[in-house]
Amino acid sequence: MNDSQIVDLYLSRNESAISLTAQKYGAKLRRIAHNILHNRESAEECENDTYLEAWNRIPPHEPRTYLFAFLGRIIRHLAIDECRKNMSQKRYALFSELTQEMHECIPGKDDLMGEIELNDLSHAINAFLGSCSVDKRNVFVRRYWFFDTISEICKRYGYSQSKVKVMLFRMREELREYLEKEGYMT
Amino acid sequence: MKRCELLDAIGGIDPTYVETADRDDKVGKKRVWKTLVPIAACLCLAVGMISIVKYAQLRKATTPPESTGDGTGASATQAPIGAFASTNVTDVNHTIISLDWPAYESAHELVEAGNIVVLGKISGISFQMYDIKTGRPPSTDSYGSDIYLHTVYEIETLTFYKGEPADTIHMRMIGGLKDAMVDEQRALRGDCAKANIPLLAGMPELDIGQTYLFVLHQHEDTMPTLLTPSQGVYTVEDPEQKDVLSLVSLKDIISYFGDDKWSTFEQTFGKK
Repeated sequence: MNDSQIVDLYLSRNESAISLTAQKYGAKLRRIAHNILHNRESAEECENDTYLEAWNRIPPHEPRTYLFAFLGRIIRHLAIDECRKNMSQKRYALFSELTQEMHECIPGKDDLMGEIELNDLSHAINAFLGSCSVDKRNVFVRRYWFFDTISEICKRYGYSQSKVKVMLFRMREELREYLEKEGYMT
Repeated sequence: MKRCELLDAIGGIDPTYVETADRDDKVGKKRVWKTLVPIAACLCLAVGMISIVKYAQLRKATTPPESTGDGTGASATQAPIGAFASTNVTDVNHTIISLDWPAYESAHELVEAGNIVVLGKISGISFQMYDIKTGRPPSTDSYGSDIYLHTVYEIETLTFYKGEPADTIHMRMIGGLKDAMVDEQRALRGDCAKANIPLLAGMPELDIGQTYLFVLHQHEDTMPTLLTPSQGVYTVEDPEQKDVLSLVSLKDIISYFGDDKWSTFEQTFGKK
C-alpha cells in the first residue's frame, strides 16, 4: 500500500492505518530512536508514541508524499526529548557527540542571538542544505537527522571515514558561516 | 537558543531531503553494479573483437581482396558485426562503434574513476591509428583487427583539478570525425580509404578553440581517453547542465574539489 493510501486510512480514522504504518516504517523508525537512545525498550516506546502522535496529527496534516519524513520527525523529537530527560546517563554518548558537533556551528556562547524561533532556524538550515550538493546534503542528513554513526555513513555511501569526517567538518563550518551571514549569530 | 536546539531545528528540514537521504542507493548495490558494468563492457568488446576476427578470416578465405562484397573495398575489420553497424553517408561509409560504458551517479564516483580532471581549450585535432589492445601506436606485434583510427585532441590546459599538471595534453578517442577532415582520416586508412571511417556512438562534437572540462582516464603512460563519451566532457557554457544521463554537471565536478575552486571558475567564466 502506498503512502497516500495509508494517509487516507488515517483521515478516515481507520485504525488499520497504524498497523500498516508499523509494517512499512516500523523498523526504520525504531532504528532512528535506537540511534539516539541506544535502548530497545525505549525505542519501542517512542515508536508507539509516534503512531499515537501521527494519529492525532493526521488530520489536519496530510503527509501523502512524505509520510516517512513526517513520522521520522516525530520519533526523532520524542527520542531527543527522552534523551534530554536522562542526559546524565552515559548511554547517550552519540547524542552528546552530535550535540557537541552542533556546538561548532555556534561560536562563543550557547545562545543564538537570543530567542529565535525553531521554524526560522529550520528555514535557514533548509536554505543552507539547498545550496549544498546532493552528496554532501545526504551525508549531513544521515548524520544529524537519522543520527547515523560515521561508520554507518561510510558503509552506506562507500566513502572513507576521513572523507565523511572532513565533509561533515566543512559543512559545519559552512553552516556556521551561513548562520552568521544570515544574522542568526551575534 | 541552545546548541541542542539546533538538532531540533534540523528535525524540521525539508522532508524531500530526508526522503532523498533515505532512498539513495546503498553502496553494496553500487559496488556490484560498478564491478559488473565494466566487466560486461569488456566482455562485449571481446566478443565483438572475436566476431570480427572470425569474420575477417572467413572473408579472407572466401572473397577476393579487391571485392569485399559491399563494393567499397573496405577491409573486413569494418564489417558490421556484433556491436558494429554500418551506415552509408554520401560516398563515405561510416562504421558506427557502439560500446557500453559505465554510468557514474555522482561527481565523487566520476572523479574517483578518472585520473585526470582538467579544464582546457582544444587547440588542435589530428588523427592517428592506435592498437586498442595496448593503447599505443601499432607495432609489429599488433593484429590488423586491433588497429583503429583514433581522433587525437590537443588540449591547452587552463586548470588542473586532478592529475599531473602540464601546459598541453593530448587526448585520444577511438573513431574519427564525421564530415570533417575526411582526407586526413582517409589517408591514415591506406587501402581501406575508399571510405570506411569509424565513428564512436555518443561521442560529442568538440570544437577547436572551445573550452571544456575533461574527465580522463590514463592507463599507465598511454595517451589518456575520455572516461566515457557522455560523462567525460562538459561544456563551460552552462555549468549546471547535467550530462546526457542527467547525473552530473560541470558544477558538481568542480565543486567536488572545493567551493574555492568553484568560485574561481565562476569568476573566470561567469555564472550562467
